[in-house]
Amino acid sequence: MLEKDMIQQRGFRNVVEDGSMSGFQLRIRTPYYRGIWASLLEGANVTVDGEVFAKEDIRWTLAGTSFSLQELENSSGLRWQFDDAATLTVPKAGGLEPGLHEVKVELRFRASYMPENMQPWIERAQRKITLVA
Amino acid sequence: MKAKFKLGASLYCYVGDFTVTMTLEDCIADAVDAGAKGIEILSEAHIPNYPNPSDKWIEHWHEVLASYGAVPTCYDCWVDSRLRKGRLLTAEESLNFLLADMKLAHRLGFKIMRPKLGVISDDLLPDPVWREMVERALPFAEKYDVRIAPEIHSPTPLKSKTVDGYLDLVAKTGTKHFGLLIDAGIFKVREGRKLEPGQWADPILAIDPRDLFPYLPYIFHIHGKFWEVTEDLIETSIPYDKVVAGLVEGGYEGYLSAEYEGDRTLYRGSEQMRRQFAMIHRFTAQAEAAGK
Repeated sequence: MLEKDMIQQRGFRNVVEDGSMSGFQLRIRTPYYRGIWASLLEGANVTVDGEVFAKEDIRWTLAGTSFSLQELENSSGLRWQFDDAATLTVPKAGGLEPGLHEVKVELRFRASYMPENMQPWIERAQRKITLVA
Repeated sequence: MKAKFKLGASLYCYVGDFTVTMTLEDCIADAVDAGAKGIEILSEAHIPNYPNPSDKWIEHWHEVLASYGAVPTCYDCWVDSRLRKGRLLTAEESLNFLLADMKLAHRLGFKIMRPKLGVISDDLLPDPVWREMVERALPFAEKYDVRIAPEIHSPTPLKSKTVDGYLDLVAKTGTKHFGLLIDAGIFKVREGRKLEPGQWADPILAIDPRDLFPYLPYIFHIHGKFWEVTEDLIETSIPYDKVVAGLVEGGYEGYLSAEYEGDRTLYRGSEQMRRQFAMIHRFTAQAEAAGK
């Protein structure tokens, strides 16, 4: 089962690469009422305790494989399924301190059945979650 | 005169709870318990590993429906015209998506599919490739016996270029496999809810349900759209007494598929569903008594 919020508590952790903390990971479920073709995604900005991380720098893991935003845009047949949380890997030297963090996500995607002037569709979420390590 | 329509539910009613507090089987069990015989799903929410569910899951789907005595009614899918950044899908590409969905809908036992089409204007005119896409899909629709019904949903009224276009295709081809799905939100007469700032709500069209009568031969399925049914069994925005009376008088024989789109607080969908069905039962009895 997933948590109700777009921002999942489960999976919030620092990332270690070559022996040092290179960033952190966050899982998000789709805030939409259906899963979505990955090429419709236009990225997610992540803000933690006021620090903004740009969507272009964030990698997405869908169905077990990691992609850059560009790769999502160019993908065919790749989906962010309704029952599958995407993992966002955010680069930040040193990672985040253990403890509670105010996390915001701003997700953009295209919806074909809404007028052009409402594109991209933007969904925002905010949640205070705990990073253990 | 007796009501001829049948009762169903779209699992969209449970979107707040699905994958959080309810599995697919929970949704089906709950809908059937509330009074639904027909089950409608969203292809891109309810089918695991869409568009390629396993054969095992498809077998399981049929078993679960059979165990609850439920039948599949309408398969809701999308033609994502904006799939690629910077351009719209061609008619050929759109057709390929539609046919993939049609075949899957057929495997799952659905007789009606609702493709949500891409739009090209603020008043939601469908991307004109829809026409070639549908014409080329018709032989397959006949082969699989799956009828295609785009949805007429606020702000699109019955008297519109969109609907005229759809009915023109039916007239030109003589097909029995293309028609309309009506969303009961077109009968909304007031905004009955207290909305949050910036919250979207369907524009009020206040269409008289009896205006459906001339369209009935083309109406394959109806969404019993609702946002809030009070404890006194009144939908606060849509006059369901008139909607149900219209369906009884018009002799509509398809499914009235409950479609909750209100507050998504956990467990609320389930409660609201029951109020919706209770309300429909009450108004059906009323309409049948009045029609005697």
